[in-house]
Amino acid sequence: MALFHKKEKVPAVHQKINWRKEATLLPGYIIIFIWLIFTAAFLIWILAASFSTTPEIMQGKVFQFETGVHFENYAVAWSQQNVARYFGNSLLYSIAGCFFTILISAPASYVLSRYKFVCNKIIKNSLIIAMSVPAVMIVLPIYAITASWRNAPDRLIFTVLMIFFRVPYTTVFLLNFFQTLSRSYEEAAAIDGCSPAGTFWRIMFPLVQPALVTVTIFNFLGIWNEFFMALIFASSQKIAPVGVGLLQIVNSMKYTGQYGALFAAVIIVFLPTFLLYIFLSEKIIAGVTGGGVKG
Amino acid sequence: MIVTGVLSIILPALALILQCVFAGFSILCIPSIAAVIFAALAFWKKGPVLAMVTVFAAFIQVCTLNIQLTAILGLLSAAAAVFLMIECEKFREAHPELADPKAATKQMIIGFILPCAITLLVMYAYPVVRTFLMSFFDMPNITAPISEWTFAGLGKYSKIFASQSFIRSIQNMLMIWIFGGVLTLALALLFAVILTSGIRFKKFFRAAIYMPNVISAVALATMWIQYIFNQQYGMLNSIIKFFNGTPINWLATDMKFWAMLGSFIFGAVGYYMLIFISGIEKIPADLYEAATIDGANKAQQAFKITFPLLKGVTKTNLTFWTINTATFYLWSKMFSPVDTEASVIVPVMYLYDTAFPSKGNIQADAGAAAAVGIVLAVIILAVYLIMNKVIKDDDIEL
Amino acid sequence: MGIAGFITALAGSVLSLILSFIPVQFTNILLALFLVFLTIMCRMMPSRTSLKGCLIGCAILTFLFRFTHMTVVGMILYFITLAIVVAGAVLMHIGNESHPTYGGEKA
Repeated sequence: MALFHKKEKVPAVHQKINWRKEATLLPGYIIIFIWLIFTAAFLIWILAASFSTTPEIMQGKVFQFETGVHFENYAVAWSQQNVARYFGNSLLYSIAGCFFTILISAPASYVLSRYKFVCNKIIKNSLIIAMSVPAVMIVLPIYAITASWRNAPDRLIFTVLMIFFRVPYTTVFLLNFFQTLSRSYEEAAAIDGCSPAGTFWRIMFPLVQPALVTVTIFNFLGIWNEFFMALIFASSQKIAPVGVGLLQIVNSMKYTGQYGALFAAVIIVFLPTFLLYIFLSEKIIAGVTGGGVKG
Repeated sequence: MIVTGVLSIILPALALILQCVFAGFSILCIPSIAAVIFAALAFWKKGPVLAMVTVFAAFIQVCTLNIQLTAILGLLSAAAAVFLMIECEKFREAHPELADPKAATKQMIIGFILPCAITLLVMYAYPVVRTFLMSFFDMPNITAPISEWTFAGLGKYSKIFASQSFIRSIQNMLMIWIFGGVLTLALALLFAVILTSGIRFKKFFRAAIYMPNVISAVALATMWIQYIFNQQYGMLNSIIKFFNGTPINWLATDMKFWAMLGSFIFGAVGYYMLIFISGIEKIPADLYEAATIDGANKAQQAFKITFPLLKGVTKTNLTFWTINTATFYLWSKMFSPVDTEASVIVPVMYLYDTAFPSKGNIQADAGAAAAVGIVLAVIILAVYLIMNKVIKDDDIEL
Repeated sequence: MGIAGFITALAGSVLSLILSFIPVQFTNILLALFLVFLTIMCRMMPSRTSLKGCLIGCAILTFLFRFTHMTVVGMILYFITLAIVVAGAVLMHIGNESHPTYGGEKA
C-alpha cells in the first residue's frame, strides 16, 4: 500500500509547483531570506562605500554617488597602502604552497594507501593527529628554529611553513581517493614494463585529478586566509600576506582617515576567494562534507 | 669509483666541520649532513638516484653555508657527487644481474614517504615535544638553546593561573564556547532542517550561507567593525535610528565581547550547517515517508526522527566547535588590534602577548606561553574524550 | 636538437654567471659556475639522462634559494636565465632521445 502511494506521488512534485507544500515551507523561506538580505545588504554597502569619498561615508550617503564614482580609492589602496605588495606576497605563498603540498602529499598518500610497510599505520595515525594539533602547540619551537635562520630569505620560511602546515590535511584527504582506485591499472602498467614510480606519475596521479583540484582549492583558501602564523612569521611590511596587511591598514586608518580606500582594500582582499567561490562553490561544498568530515 | 665516492663523502664532511668550527652549528648545516649521509648510502648501494640526491644536497649547501671557504668546498663536493652518480650508473649498467626486481618498489616507497615523514617530524613531533618541555622550564628568551633553560617545575602553570588576564581569557573562552556554541549550532541546525525540507534554490541558499567561511576572515571582521558596528553610519544604528531609538556604541567595552561573538557566529554558522545537512541527508527517506503516512507533521518529524539520528554529527560538530573556540584568535585581534583589551582577550591572545610582548616593559616568558598552549591542548583532548564517552555513535547501522 | 639545446643551456648558465657579478654575489657565482660545469658535462656525455635531471634540478634550486636576495628586476632576469637553462636541458634530452646513438656511448 505504502509503495503504491510513493510511486504515484513522486512525479507530481517534480512537474508543477505544489503551492500547498510551498506554503508550509514559508517560515523556512522567510528565515533564510532575512539572513541572505542581511548578508547581501552589507556586502553591497561595502562595495558602494569603496567607490565613495570619506565625507560621504561619514554622512551615510554612500548610495547616492553625489560626487561621482571614485575609482581612485582602488588606486590609493593598491599603491599607497601597499595592497599590491601584500597581494603579491599572498599569491606567492598560496601558489607555491599549493604546488609543493601536492608534490609532497600525493606520493605519500599513494604509498600509504597501496603498500604495506613497517610504519604505515603509525604514519597514517600521526597524520590524523597532526591534522588536529592546534597551531599554538607548535609555533613557539618553530619560531626558535627559524630564528637562527633569520638571514635566510624570509619569504622562504613562511612559504615552507605553509607547505608543511597543509601536508597532513592534504595527505589524509587524498588517502580515501587512492583507496577507491582499482588495482588493475597498476597490474596493466607493470605488464607493460612501467616502473612503480612511473606508474604513479603517469597513471595514478592523473586519475585522482578531481580530488587534487578540490584539495588544492582548500589549500589555496587556507593559505590565503592564514592569519595567526602570518602574524608571527611574516608580519614585517615587506613580506606580509593580505590578512596581516589589512590589519596594518586598519591600524593606520587613525592617521590616514581614508575610509574609501580602506573599503577598497577590503574588497581587493575579499575578491579573489569570493570569485573562486562563485565558480567552484559546488566543488568546495562537496569537499567540506565529503573529505573533511571524517573524525 | 672509490676515489669519487670517498671524495663526495669527505668534502661535505670537511665543509660541515669547518662551518661548525668557524660559525657554530645551526640549521644551515642540515644540507651538509644530508649530503654526507646520502653520499655514503650511494657509495654503499651503488645507487644513481641516491647519488643524484647527494648532488642536490651538496648544491643546496653552497647556498646555506655562509663562509666562502666552506661554500667552495660545498661546490667541489657537488661536483664529486656528479661523478659518483655517473660511476654508479655505469656500475649498474655493467652488472644488470644485481638489479633486484623489488628494489624499485622499495625505493619508491622510501622516496615517496620520506618528505611526508620529515614534515611530520620537523613540523609536528619535535615542536609538540619541545612545547611540552618548555612549559616546565624557565628560559631567558624564546630562542634560547636548551642548555640555557632552568627547571621550573609547575611554576609556569601556577604563574599563568595566578594571572588576572589568563583567568579572564579562560572565562571569555568559556562564554564563547557556551553562548556561541548554543547559538551557532542551533542556527546551523535550523538552517540545515529548512534547507533539507524540500525548499527551492537549496543549492544557492546553501552556498550563500557558507560563503563567509571562504572569504578572508580579516576582511570579514573589518567589514563588521567598520560598517555594521559603526556608531555614526553603521547598519545596526541606522536601523535603530529608523525606529527612533537611541544609537548604541557597539564597540564600547561592555558591548564589545557580544559584538565580537555575534560577528563570529555569523561567519561560523555555514560550516556547521553543511555538516548537519550531510548528516540529515544520510537519514533514509522512507523513515519520513512512513511518518508522513502515520500522520506526523514536519515539526514532529524533526523532533522524533531528525534530531535523535543526528547524534553522531552533533558530536563531530561539538568537537570542531571546541577546537575552534580553543584556538580562537583572529576575531579578538581584530576587535582589539593594538592593545589587548580584557573584554575580548582569549587564551591564544594571552599566549601571543606572553611570548611576543609588544610593549617594552613586559618581559617575554616563553615557558608560560608554552604552558598556555599545553593547557589548551589538554582542554581540547578532554572535551574530545568526554564527547566520545557521552555521545555514542549508535546511528551508523541505519 | 642536441647542439641547439647545449647552446641554449650554456647561454642561460653563462648569463646567470654574468648576472651574479652585478652586483658581485659570491654564492650566486659559485652556483652559476656549477651550472656551466653541468652543462658541459651534459654535452660530453649526451646519453646520461641523469645529468640533465641534475641540471634542471640545480637550476630550479638556484632560483628557489636565491631569488629573495634580489631586486624585482633582478629576480625576473634571474628567473628568465634559469628558465633558459631548463629549456636547454630539455632540448638536449629530446635531441638525445631522437638520436639514441648520437653520443656513441651506448652504441
